[in-house]
Amino acid sequence: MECRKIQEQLALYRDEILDKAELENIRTHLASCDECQLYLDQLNKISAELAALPEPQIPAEFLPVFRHALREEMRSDHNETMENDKNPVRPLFSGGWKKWSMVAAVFVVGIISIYGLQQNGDMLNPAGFPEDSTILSMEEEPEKHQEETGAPQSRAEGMVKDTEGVPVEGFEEQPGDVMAIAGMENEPEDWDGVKGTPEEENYYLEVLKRQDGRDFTIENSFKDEEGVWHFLVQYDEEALYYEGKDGELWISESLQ
Amino acid sequence: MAISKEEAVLIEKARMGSESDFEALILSCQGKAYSMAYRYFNNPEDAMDALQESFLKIYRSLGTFKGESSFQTWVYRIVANTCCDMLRKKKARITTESLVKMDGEDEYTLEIMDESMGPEERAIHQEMTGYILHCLEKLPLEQKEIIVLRDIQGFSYEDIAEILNINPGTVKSRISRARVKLREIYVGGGEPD
Repeated sequence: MECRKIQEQLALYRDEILDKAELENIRTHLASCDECQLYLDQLNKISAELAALPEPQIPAEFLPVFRHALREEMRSDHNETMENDKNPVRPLFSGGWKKWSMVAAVFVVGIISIYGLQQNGDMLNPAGFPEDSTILSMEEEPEKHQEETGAPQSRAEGMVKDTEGVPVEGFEEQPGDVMAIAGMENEPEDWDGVKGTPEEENYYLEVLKRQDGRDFTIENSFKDEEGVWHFLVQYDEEALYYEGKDGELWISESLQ
Repeated sequence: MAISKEEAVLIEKARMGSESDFEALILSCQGKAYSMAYRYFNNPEDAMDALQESFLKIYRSLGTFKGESSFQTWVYRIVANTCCDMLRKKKARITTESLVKMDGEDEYTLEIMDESMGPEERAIHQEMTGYILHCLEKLPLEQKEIIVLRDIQGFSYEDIAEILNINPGTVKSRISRARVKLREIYVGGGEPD
């Protein structure tokens, strides 16, 4: 029975991790037990053979193949980042008070305008538009409308036109028209005059274009878990690391 | 922190997409990583596949490396996990794929040759290394893994604990059981009881 317990400890004997009492116990036992001494000799022989195994050398073809795989990985990372930023999902209530107060103001103006027109119109034409007029649809594409009616492309060129495409007097587009607001959801919100918001990659690329007149390409970019954007920017003569957050863009001094 | 400032800068630059900096990071440990992977599979093709997969995983997870262990230890952990995953997927223990029977004899040779040996020495060496590797292949994966890390690669108990993400007490008991079992196979003619 004791031999079995000793033999379990012998497996760890040469690693010098047993405590003094255990070591002393083993030495005393080995002095009088040939079987356990043989057991220890076998363990040592096996360990020596394992340690003597020649170290396999990495084949020369590994590195070029791996480099190719790594570049593919980097390329697909970059494409994924750019793709995600092309079509940002815009939460309905993003933008804060600015956007929604404008919408409210225009809505009020629109209501007042319609009420005023109603005083001069009839039940079938509550807005009082001339019968032969065409209202430029807020949903229609300007180009499609022009194709069909001959009306001008620009939404700004008249809200109501007659069938010959002539703007109807009194129904020209007014500042704050609902028509103008109809296109708002298609326009990126401006932030200090730069397109996009500081959460988006394109915002910082725009800032970089404005503050640095040189041509550049983005070698890589990502947003870390703290919301900081990181850019590896390649110019003709140098590469620089930029970081951006909350609308500010700066050169990353620690990585130059 | 277990990493140096220079290493931290290399890691950050690699995260930013610098291929040369990432290569510099992995070059520092690719030799040992390959050697480790080789011992799991005993053939260079699978070892290279595992190493490539491991390095790509490392590239993808650079952002998650917090520096609590050394970078090399983190690399070896990923290599060990990748090798185990691949082996389990293969659902087969590699026993004779890399071992070639000699003519008319029930003996085994090893693919890796020591060029400095004479013919007689080489034959003896091949016999010994082939046999010990044959015995190693008979161990369950968990026991084989610990023998590879401790007795072949020479990692410390602490490093093994980090690589396998187990506590040092478990390392000790696994090493003990693995060596006892290996000895049993070795003296038993290369077959487990």
